[in-house]
Amino acid sequence: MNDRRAADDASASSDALARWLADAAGAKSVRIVGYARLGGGAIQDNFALEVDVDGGPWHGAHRWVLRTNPPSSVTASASRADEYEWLRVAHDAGVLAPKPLFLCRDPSVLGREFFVMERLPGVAAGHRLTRDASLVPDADALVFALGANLARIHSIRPSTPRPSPAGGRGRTPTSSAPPSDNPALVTIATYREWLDCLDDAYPALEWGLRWCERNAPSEYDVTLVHRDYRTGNYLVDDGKLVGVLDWEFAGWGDPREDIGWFTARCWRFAAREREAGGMAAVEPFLAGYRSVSSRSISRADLDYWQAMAHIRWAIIALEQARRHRREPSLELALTGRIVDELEYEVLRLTGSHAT
Amino acid sequence: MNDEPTHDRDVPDAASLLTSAREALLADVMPSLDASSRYTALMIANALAIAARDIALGPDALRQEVERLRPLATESVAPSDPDTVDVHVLRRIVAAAIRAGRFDDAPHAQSLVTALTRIAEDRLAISNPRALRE
Repeated sequence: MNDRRAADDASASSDALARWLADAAGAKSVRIVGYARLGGGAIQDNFALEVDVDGGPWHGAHRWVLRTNPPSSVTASASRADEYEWLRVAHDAGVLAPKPLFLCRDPSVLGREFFVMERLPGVAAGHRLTRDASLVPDADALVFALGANLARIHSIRPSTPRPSPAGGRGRTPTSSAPPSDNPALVTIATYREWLDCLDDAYPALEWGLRWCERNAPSEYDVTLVHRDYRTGNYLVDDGKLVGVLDWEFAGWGDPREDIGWFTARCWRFAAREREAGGMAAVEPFLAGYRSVSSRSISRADLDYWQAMAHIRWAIIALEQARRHRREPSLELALTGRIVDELEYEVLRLTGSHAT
Repeated sequence: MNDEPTHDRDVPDAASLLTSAREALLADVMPSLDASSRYTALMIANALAIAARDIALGPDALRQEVERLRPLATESVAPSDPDTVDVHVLRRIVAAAIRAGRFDDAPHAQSLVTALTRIAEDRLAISNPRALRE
């Protein structure tokens, strides 16, 4: 039902989109040759956009991605404008990610905010990458590159000077205020707020949060964190990392949060025994990270931030399950049923050293 | 479960219907599907399996959860209060007590984690038995 409505929206507004793109690209005109929904985004709507640009710096044929808001979204999700800015900041810092091209904040064009970015080749599907060894002949090299790329994201700090983008569209993402306290504690407070918005209470998640609160790291950095850096959200082409997708949750935080998320058991797909995202052991991933960053990551750090990762995913999964009430979907409904497994993992990670 | 009304003895019950539906989907329908429909069919098969296990195990798991949460709730509020058998109320009492730090010390933490792990295992036996380890 949503597919059909979005497609109707798209055809009704394709003229407006073509005119807007021509203006944004400084072209005489833009012809939209292809416009099709891309699979995989449970939270955002992505469309493959193929265009013929006539005149200006973009003259020629291009394959882009148009990314826009779905009819409803989860608490953690930022606006398209914020996501566009983080993507631009990261791309400028040499992070492998799709190059952001144009941002449209005018809802009269498509009915919602959207941005356009370059379309990278490759496979992202986690269940394929973790099963089909022919897609990743050298998994150690891939996770090394993923570690190095993550460390490049974490080299961006609130104090990092940022050039204003061409055209004077520079802005600071509204989600950009750096935390004034230990980011782990700020994160715990946020998760409690999210839990308090649910109809039921979750003792196992509360236990996990209390454990994380009492064991919060005393020393920390504040850097850019991606907050969804995991298998399924990066593209692998010809066995190599080409770019990290889905920047909608990016913001300032403790860089170890991303490392826990990437290595968490819940994001290992078909290969639960391979700690680095179901692709390889954790050592080559951390070696890649260390090739760019001097930050050291201990086993205790991994356990702590993996517990935090499972708590986060459990709460988001509960929100998606609630979304199923408004937008019935088998995928969202089943997401609600993975919460049991996530709670079990939180207890396993925190229970052996209970206090 | 002896106190609950039983269904017909000769006719398959709800769990049995769901199990048969799942087997027919996987054996007869799956092979003729293309890749994207196959993904949907696998999700349907998974949903049918969870529903069948929930019918079989859910009521008992819920009763067990109440029994496991009650002593924890009794410890954490005024002793007269939690005579309730409403699992949602018990979850809320225990969750609030955890957040307030009433299970911080080692013996309390240990009995809490043991109880919560049993509850999680019972629920996992319904939603994803393969995830149960050790």
